[in-house]
Amino acid sequence: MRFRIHRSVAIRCPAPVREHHLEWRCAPWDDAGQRLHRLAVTCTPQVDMASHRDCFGNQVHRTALLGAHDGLLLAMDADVETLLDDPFACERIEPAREREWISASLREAPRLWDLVLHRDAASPLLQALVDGADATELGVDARMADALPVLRPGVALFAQLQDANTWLTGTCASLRLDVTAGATAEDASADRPLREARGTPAELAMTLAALARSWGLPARLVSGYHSEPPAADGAGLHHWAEVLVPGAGWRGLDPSAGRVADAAYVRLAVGRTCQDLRPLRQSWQGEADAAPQPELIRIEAGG
Amino acid sequence: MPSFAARPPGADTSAARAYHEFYQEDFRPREHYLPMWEHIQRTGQHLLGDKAREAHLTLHTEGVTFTVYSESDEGIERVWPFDILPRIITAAEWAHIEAGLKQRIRALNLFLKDLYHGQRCLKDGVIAPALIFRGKDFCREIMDIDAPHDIYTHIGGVDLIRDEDGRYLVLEDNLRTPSGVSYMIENRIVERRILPEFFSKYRVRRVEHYPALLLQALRHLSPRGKDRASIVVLTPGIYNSAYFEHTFLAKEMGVELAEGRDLVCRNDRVFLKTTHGLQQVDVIYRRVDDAFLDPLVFRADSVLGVAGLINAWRAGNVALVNAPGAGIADDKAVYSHVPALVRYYLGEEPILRQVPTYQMTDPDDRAYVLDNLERMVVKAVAESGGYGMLMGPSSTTAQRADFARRVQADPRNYIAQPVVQLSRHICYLDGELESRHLDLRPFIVYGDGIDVVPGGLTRVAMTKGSLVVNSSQGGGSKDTWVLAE
Repeated sequence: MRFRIHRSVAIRCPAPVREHHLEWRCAPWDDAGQRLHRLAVTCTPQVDMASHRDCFGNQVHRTALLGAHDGLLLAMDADVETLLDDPFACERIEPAREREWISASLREAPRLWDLVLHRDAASPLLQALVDGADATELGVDARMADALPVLRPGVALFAQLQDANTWLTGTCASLRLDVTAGATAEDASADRPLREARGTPAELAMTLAALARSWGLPARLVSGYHSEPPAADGAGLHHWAEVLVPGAGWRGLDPSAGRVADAAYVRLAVGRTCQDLRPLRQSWQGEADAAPQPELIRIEAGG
Repeated sequence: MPSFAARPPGADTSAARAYHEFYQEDFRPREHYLPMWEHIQRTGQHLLGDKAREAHLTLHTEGVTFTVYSESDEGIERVWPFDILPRIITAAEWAHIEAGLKQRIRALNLFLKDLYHGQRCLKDGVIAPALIFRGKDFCREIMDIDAPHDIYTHIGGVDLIRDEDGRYLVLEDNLRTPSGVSYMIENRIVERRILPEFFSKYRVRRVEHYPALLLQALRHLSPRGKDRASIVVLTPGIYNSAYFEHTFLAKEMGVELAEGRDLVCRNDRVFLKTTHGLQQVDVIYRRVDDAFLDPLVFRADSVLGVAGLINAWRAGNVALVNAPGAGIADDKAVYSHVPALVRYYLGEEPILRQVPTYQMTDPDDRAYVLDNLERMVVKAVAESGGYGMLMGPSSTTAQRADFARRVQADPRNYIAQPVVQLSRHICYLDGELESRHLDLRPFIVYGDGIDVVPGGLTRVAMTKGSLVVNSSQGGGSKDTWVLAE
């Protein structure tokens, strides 16, 4: 599928600021799963922009405005082609050999360990539940604890991950991100789905990632776009999880929709947590007490 | 020949197991201390009292101070505590130490380069991924950035102690922003002024050239070439415990002392704001911790750093000394693997031994340590300065219970070591010669080559029997003499 994506963000400063430095993670990925045919990133007023890749492989654009100003406009235009028409197609690996495949991948690229070893607020809860602790004492919602997927030996990992994804979709209510109250995906709480059986797409994705990690699989959070208008997220970005699947590589699982990510999903940034995906980082000098506020002006993601 | 009292001064037997730097087994001074000892015997001990007062006064008027954070209700700035009797290291001992330190720094530097690039050491299983990726000081943000000249550990301060047999052991590496070098030099200046007669009896190697050595190393790093090197010392400001040292080094090297707000980044270059406009900076000797270095990349609330600094470093337009991310190499949980790293990167056997270390992430180690806490030193892996530490033998039951809880809650954050009786030395304290435990922090500068300054900071635990020598915990110091052949 081909997409034209336009995203523009206005940053308004409550009082003039200077020495304003910005990092913007806005560019779609360019890899085997999706091709980036064209990318243009601009800033108004016009300043030089440079870019680099962070340790997760995300492209980061950076710039700085030194003089006093009270706002600026960032814009990104991209043509992307997604190639994953059949996300279920993969080299078949016997369940008994799947661990070997994972171990070999970790040996080959030790950075993947970062995505296995990461712990968040959901991790100790998951561990305690597996160890047989009482859900009520832990403060875990009974609906979540009762049917918590546990690793079944001899069953293909991808199938088990899909089951876990479906279970999460069926058990948890999907919440909208309350953007009017200033909420962003970065505030996502990793353990809310376990404690309350509900969560935003980012929170559900974090829970699924934590579960996959507890099984020893590299798992990461993804932000990006979906071809249909985002179902549950008003901030313009959708969130889902990706897990390294034996024989296939990274495969996306979207627990807010109960789907395996296919060519309808466009990936923008990946990382251990929502903090790693944070679209905008900035630093400034000036009188303003409050941070210069980013405001999404327009987002279009169309075929 | 002077006569010795039945019980020589300072030769108490309470810590008999500890190696004594000054006395031999039979309480005669060691050979290399004899010229000094004979001189003291001839002139009389009371003269030492005058000298000690003079030394304190000199340090006071020169403003040689240190800040102790934990005593905030008193004045936080103290006159640098100094004992006038020098610690003497023979040429042969020093040759061993020097070779060992160079080897260690070389290996740790290669380790850091590898860790932030290909991670060969993880592929080959030399070190467990969990130690790195769960380490507080592993800096994902600098992955794949090429440090100028591939140097990360420009300035190292390695703490050495001597075990009961007098063997030098590495206690810990300090590769972030090791402090103390200015005190090493001030100790020498004061010692030379107060006790010139001691120096006439020995051939003591110089340490005063350290700032020149450092300057040379910093120039070497300049992306625009060493002839056009503009260098600044970046300090967090006057409230930092080592502010004295920051001003000292800037002054001695003849470079600017800057705070974060004095610098600005533009187009991936760093500039100093001067009255003549912006002046490009090539090398920053930063004494600001990683977390505060660049609010754009690390802690966004930092007002001590410079926004854009890491990107300027990424672009190769500025050298940062020490490199960000170097802290993972002196993480106390990585420490126990340093001998393996030396073998892996250099194919050599480690020259210096180190203290056995229990990993709290290992269930067996952890159980053993928790059962024997009163015999252990427990340390938080990413702390320094004696903060976040439990000294088993002198701890209370409540403190031990507290540490046991902390260890169980976050095992990766702690290690434990058996208590090593640090070596002792005589000190002149309140008119008496008393024995106190001490350690040694030599300084290593990595520029064009690796240089170890012949000497170092000898830190003394001023409280009788105490094994905690950190200046931030009220420790004292001695001048350290390395003898020429």
